[in-house]
Amino acid sequence: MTGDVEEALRDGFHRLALTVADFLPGFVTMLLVIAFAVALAYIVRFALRKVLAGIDFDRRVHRWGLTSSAEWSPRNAPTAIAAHTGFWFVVAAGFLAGLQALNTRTTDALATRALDWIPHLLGAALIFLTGIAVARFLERTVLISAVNMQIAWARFLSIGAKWLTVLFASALTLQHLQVGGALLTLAFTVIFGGIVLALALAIGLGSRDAVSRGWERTFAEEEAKGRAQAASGAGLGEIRHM
Amino acid sequence: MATYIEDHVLAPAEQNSPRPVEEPRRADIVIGVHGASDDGDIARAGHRLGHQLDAAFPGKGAVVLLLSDHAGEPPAPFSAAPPDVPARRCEILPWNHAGSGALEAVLRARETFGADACALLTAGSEDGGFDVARRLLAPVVEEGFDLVSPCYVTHRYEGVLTTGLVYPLIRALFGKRLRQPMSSELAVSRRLGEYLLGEAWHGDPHAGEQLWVALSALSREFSVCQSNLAARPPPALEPSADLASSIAHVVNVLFHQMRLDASSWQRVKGSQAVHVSGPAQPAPREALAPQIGPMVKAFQLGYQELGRLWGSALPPQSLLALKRLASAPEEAFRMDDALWARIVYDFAVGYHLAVMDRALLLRSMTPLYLGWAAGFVQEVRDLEPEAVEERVERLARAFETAKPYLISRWRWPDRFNP
Repeated sequence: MTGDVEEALRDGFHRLALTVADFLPGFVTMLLVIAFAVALAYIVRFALRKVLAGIDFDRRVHRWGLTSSAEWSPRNAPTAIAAHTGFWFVVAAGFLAGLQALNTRTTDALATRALDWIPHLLGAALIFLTGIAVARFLERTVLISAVNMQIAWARFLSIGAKWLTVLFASALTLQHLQVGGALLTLAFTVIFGGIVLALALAIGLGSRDAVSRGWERTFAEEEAKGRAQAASGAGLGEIRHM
Repeated sequence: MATYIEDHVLAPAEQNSPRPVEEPRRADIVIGVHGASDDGDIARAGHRLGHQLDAAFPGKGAVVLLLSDHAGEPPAPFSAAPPDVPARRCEILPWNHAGSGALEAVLRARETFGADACALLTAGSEDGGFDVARRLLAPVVEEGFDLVSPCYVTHRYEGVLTTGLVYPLIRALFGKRLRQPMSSELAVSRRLGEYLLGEAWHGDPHAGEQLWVALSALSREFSVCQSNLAARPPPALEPSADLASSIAHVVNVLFHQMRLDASSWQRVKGSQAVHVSGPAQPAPREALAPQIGPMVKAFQLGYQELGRLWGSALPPQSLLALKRLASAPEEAFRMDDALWARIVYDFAVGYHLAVMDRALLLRSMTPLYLGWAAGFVQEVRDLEPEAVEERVERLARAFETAKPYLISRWRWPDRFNP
């Protein structure tokens, strides 16, 4: 009986030793890959910092409209954020590559799926960043145009244009990541359609009042002009800017 | 209506297309007439001008071009004239310049005809533009000036953008007191014409615009003169552009030239008067004062909504001054000359550094300009005509005084960053 137990334990330890011996090279390889990835990540971070500083990335980002202010601390400057993102991206990719070295079914599947997903992730990030840049540009364009047209609710219009674009970019990003499926499209259609309908109603109903107010103002101005003409003749002329 | 070319009369059908010419031609003076909505008006103005030119410049062969830009018609088929071809008496030619501007057409025609001087005139004057042509061309032909810019008689509320921004800025930059550098009429010498079509033309997106001609001439120290003329011709019919676009366009030309000639304008100190040709014209009938309320409101709305955007170009002390101004009552609304000069300079530096999209930056200037214009109208409303010019002179001097600030910011922009 004791001998059977001893033999079973010996067999168990033997199998364990074999398994560990089988697993150990893959594990060491994984550690080496991760160590290499971390070293590479440091190099990438250093290179990104140098290159982005060289092309004056912070100022360019502000000019492209991706940020609202040109002032930031060294930690949250666009160059620092881009360098950190590059660093962690390489580390994550190295970790996933290292997992494959373990050569188990689970880690293989996980690493393969994650690595396959990376191009989608990069594409989605690009779509989202482009969307943000377009949204900020539209926000400024609409704001300046509306102010020059002397529309009192210029800010409201510009914020509306910005968030509609951000919403659209977010939907595109999620669709690119294959998150949400048909539900996302449906939700986006409902929200976007709802906003457009609400705006159409607001403008349609509001314009009635605006037109009547405009007429009232015109009549009032004409009356005022007439009175002013009778009084002094001032305030009736036209300024020629060009 | 008949078109006369020397003693030859063209049939009406011939008037609409350029007459093919085999032999090369030469002329001493080339004049382009443009600017009317109707080709008939241009033709009438050109003919009246052509028949009188001989009296103004005896012995000089002239060509009057009736400019039109109808798409689809072939360009005028003329070949360049060698110097030994004699110049003929005045000729009047239909001249299609589809695909290029009127000014470019005249400059290229001057090259083609080998002329010593050329002028661009606007149709619409009662005498067909003869007096304008004589006054613009005489300083070039007889006194050797390279550029003659008109100096129209204007009322105090006319050309306010030129008065408040273009004139003082150009004067401070290039040191020449050219009062109306932005005009659809001008005269150019052979020397300047060759420079404009050669070195200056290439790579300049604003090449061919009237303001560009003045800026190019001033930046290269060509001799410049202004000629006293009567009222400004009616503006040509163009696709309607809003005020913001017009201001942005003009300022874009100025700021772009500032970037190109930074090394030359930084050396200029003070300013000199420009030779004025011809007797002073009678003062125009005084215009009624415009309302300043809408301009003040436009400025206040601009400050409220665009204040943060202006912060990209303007330092805090300017923003603070604008904040005070935005809350000022209409009766006391006045933008200080020094503040306005620094604002224009700050935007020029912002444009140079591209602190944000340049087109947007320039369009965001409109409320600031309207704020200055409101104060200007308020100030000059009750002044005598002579005092208005003194007021403009004070503004121009403020731009000159603030020029060291511009140079410092241009050279060391980070030093002034808020």
